[in-house]
Amino acid sequence: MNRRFYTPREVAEMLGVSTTTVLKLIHDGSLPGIRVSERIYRIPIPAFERFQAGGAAPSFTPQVRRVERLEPLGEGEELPRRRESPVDVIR
Amino acid sequence: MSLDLAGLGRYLVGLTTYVERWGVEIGHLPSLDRDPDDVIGFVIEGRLPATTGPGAEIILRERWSPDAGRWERSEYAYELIDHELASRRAFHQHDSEAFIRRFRVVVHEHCEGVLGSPDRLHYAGLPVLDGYDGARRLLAIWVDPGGISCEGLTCLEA
Repeated sequence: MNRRFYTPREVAEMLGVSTTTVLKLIHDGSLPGIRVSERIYRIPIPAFERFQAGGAAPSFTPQVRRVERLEPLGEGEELPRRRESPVDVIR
Repeated sequence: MSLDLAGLGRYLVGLTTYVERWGVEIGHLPSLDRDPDDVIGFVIEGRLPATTGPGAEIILRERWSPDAGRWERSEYAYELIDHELASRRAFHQHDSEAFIRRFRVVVHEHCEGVLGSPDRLHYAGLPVLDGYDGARRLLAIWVDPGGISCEGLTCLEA
């Protein structure tokens, strides 16, 4: 499996800032990071690349569309069957 | 969480922007799809790029049911399909009546250590607060060096 994240220290080296600054960026929401434990964070590589590319993602106005039917969630999934009661089993 | 139609639109835009900030490449901009019963649904589909290989898909689906001129999230399906590792993880709330009747749970999860051949059908889970929480949980699983593991999950069919 290819590596999928950077540590705050690695990001700090790439940005030429301190690890503390990277943690501040994570805490203020500027840089997406996953808190694994109290002291361990992971920055997904695609998130860091997006951060480096800069600029906010373009906003959009979602269309409201009339549809005949919404595709059911969990389609193709085997739904739980009703458990047979003891009476059903005896019959 | 109860939203009017404008609020639901803002929620969809916010969630789409949020997953893009994590580096997820969105295939096409999502829309709010409204059925004849006024249930509104949306799908955000995106791809986590990989240096090599097919990467992974993240799919966030929600259903919002009408309630006195507003809408409440009534169902969700948040999915991670990791093509590189051929595995899948998902958090679901749908067909609640069937799940309550059979297992006395409202939500369930899926885990496929090998894609297409789940060891078990449904696992117990905790409710996912909203789409942001769902996306965050899936991304945390995606970056885990151990990959998707089903160990420690409680199977409902056991």
